[in-house]
Amino acid sequence: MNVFQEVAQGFVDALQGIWTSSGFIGNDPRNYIMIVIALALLYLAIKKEFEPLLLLPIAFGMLLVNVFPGITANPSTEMQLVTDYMAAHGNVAGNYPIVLLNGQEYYQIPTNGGLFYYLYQGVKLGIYPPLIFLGIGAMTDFGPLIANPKSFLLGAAAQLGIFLTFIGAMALSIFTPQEAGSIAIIGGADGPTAIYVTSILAPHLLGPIAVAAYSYMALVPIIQPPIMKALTTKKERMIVMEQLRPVTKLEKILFPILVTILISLLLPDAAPLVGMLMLGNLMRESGVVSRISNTAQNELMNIITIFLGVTVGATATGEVFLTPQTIGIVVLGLLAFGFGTAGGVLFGKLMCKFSGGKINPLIGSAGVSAVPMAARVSQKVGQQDNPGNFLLMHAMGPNVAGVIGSAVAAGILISILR
Amino acid sequence: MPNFLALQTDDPVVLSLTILVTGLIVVFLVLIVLTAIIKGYGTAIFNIANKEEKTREEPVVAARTATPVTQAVPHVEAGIPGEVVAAIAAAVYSLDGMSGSAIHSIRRARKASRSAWGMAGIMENTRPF
Repeated sequence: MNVFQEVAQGFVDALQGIWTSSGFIGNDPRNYIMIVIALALLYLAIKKEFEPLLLLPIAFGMLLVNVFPGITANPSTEMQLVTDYMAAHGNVAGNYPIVLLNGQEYYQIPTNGGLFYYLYQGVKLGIYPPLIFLGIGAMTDFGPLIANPKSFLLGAAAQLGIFLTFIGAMALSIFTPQEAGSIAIIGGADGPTAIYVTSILAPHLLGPIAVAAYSYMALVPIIQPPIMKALTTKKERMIVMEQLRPVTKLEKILFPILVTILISLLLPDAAPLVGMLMLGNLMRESGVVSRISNTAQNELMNIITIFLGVTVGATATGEVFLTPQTIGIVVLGLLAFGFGTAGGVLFGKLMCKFSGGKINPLIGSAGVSAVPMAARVSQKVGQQDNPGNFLLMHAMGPNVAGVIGSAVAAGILISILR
Repeated sequence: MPNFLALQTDDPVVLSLTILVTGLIVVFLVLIVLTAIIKGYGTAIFNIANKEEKTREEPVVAARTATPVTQAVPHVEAGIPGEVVAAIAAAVYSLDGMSGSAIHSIRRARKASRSAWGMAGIMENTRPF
């Protein structure tokens, strides 16, 4: 064989090696379906701007993991004969542990995991969601809630969706109680809370649950208005609420401290979420750590959002995502949102009646959290019947109460089902 | 870690209803307690703040009624519209209240060597030091 033939043979072998190690050979057909879904989500994030800050990294993580599944590979240990290793490395001994198997010495050579394996540890260990809550707390003004504490009740009523969906999921008989609890928390309309609960109760469902939760959060302006209109009369929707009283700085500072103490003592499982939410808020309201507060609101929040988004998206591989369970999760998630909205609005009607018509029931729908989108929906639906009505600040009360309410509900689910 | 589910049931109906009842009652209870606490301390702080404000204002009001003085009209630089004067007066009032501060004159600030955004950036980065 001459040099030319050897080079040609080497070229063919190299091409064969590239081809056999490529995704075209190694990937499952389901990966390609997931790639199409990821592209559709990217379209919704970029073109339709549906929660793009989250949907874009989630969709790209989904795309990447289905193109190259090895990106989530666990670290492993490769066994190699010491003699083979030394022959391949110019007789230089390796610095690895040696084990004796069948009378032969082997090096235990560690192999690094894929990039997303390491980034995913923040999800798996429940680190990212509380950090996201820190940023949310630093961005949230609890003033409307402090000015009108009755809003807390609307935030509680809107959690109805979580508990009714749990019953629905159990009734399907294809989910374990832990899986049903993770699906039900979608009704809290709070992405980090859904991820936190699922990472503890049913980590294998993280992909479909996160995608369903964030997709429905993005669709709040489409899902909520028909339910709000169906459950209220025009007269109720036109109610103009009294202006909120001003809230002092001392009240705003005391609020996160009191909430943390009370909820953490009562529901320790909710402490990581509520504690970080309130720490962020205390940093904001105290006014003495503006640099840290700014970092929590901006840089930290953005970094964690990237890590959380891509790694959660990366859990949606074809074999995990394309199952009957996912269809069940998608349907139940929608029901959870619907029940939550209905619960808030119906309780708002009740409060309207008891207050002598002073409360507009539309603000009840904002109790599902999804800050500030759900509050904006209350404002928009209210203005359709009464253009001079400004419900936004009134709806922000139940909206932020919903964040606390869903964290409490999460604590209850974890306590009971873990 | 506390486990509420001491009954250890395998019956999905019992479990579902347990979660529904426990969940709703606990969420409502926690948030009702928070409502009561916040309402309580909110009212207390608001009343204290109002009382302080009243006691601070009383001597001023008394002094004002005892010796009525004609408010000096601030000297306003030509070309500044009335709305701007009103906004400045409101800002001064919201900062100092009725504690005796008065606007003597309003004039345009000299143009700074840096833009307002540039100055804000410098202030933000250097204030802590």
